[in-house]
Amino acid sequence: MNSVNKKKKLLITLGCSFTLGVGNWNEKSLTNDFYTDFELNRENFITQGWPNRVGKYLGYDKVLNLGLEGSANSTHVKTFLERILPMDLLEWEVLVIWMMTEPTRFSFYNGLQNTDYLPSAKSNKSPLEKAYLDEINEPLYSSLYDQVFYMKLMEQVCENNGYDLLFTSWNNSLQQLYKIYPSDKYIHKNWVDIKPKNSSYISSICGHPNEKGYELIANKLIEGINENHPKYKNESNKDIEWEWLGSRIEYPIDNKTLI
Amino acid sequence: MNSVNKKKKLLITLGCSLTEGIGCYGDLPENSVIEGKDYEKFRNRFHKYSWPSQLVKLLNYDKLINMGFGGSSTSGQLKVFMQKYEDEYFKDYEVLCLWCLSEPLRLSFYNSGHIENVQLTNEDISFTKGYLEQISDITIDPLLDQLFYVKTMRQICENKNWNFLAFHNDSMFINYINKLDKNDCWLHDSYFENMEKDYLSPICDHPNEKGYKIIALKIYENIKNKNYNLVNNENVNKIEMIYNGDSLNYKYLLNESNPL
Repeated sequence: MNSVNKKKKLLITLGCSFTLGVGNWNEKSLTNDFYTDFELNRENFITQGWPNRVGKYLGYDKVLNLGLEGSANSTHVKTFLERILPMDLLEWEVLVIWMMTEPTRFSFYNGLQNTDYLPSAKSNKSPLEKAYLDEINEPLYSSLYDQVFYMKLMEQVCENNGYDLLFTSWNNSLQQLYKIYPSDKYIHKNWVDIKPKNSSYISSICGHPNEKGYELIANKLIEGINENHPKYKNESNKDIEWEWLGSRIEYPIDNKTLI
Repeated sequence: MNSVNKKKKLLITLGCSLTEGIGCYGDLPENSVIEGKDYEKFRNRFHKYSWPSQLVKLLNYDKLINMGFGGSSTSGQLKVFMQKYEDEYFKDYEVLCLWCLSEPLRLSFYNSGHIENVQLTNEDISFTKGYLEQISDITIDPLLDQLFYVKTMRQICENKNWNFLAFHNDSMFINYINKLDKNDCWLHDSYFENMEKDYLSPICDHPNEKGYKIIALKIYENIKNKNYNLVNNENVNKIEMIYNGDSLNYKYLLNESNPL
């Protein structure tokens, strides 16, 4: 195949705030209103996060970042189905990297859009989050099996569409996941803690990695890809195109219009 | 292709009690109470007279795998399917996967290594209260979750090169589904409603043997009219029927390797 016929390379990244790049604050522009600052910094999060860094290093043409703050693993799969499957990506060679989140998070549609519940969050638990903790024995271990279920679904969906898929996670539960679900799709052959620990790599505003932290995460992911999945390495590309498609889709319907 | 080279035909059915065949108690009197071990004794009979067992004969298929499980949720049904058949392609068969969707107000989580189906009509469960307190539209919101699993199953079947059809056991959802998920996989009809007393079990109000026979006939007619290519016109001598709807239990296997 000559270079004219070569498919362009698309990296799709799935995950929570760690994939969105939360923590990459432009500290000069902060207003002290967290939610305003969050929206003002969203672009900075994405451009400085690990997906664009990894995409540039691997020489991909475009990064589609589906990261969404506070989202569950089930949400990542739902977002992928809602956002990616309707797209015509025949012109692209696609690699999906899923940075899975804390496993007890779950999601349901609520008010016609998918909504996340975080039972392990430290404060302000909703009735549904409390109920999960009441009903489920050893939630961390129990929820890992739900996580495996969603991993298997993603494997099938990606295989069906001819997309390559790699797994990783910032969460320590990945150690247990290696034991209960061995797979050659993990970026690292054995568990590697990719989450920065040193305070100079962590944002003082939100506790997520900062720019240095995301560089560290990207480097660890690149090391794993180089070592275990070298076929994804191409000539690096500094001028990468990117797009964020992580926002929630609301179904534009209601009970009255449906009947 | 001549008949010698034709692939055998396999029907896989997913669903809840209505697919498992619950209600086929034979001639038990109306006030009989069936619990625990007694219930287990009837399960073979349920499977024997379920609509899948009757439909497979009408379709002239060679094999049936019925995964219907009483009280299960849509997500729980898909979880069991992934436990059992994730890596199975049945390449020697032409496969039709048929999913009878249950009441959307049922959820599932893994709990201590097993799949726990939660029926949100059971108010003794704290999850019911939490869910009903938080979810704003208990008709459409749970249906959207249900449709997510159907869309995923469609992908799985496409990946395995299987045919896939689905229908809802409650026809109230047909209009909603028509607007939310326009896809040829849907068999829209009322299979389980308006059944006369003679066709229902006096013990549990599910269809009885006669009821499931009518249901199988209606589904068959619908498939024949809409998806004629899925009907086998050659008679089959022997049908293999398997029930495989019970979930596996992954009991804390963190110190063992590859339990899944």
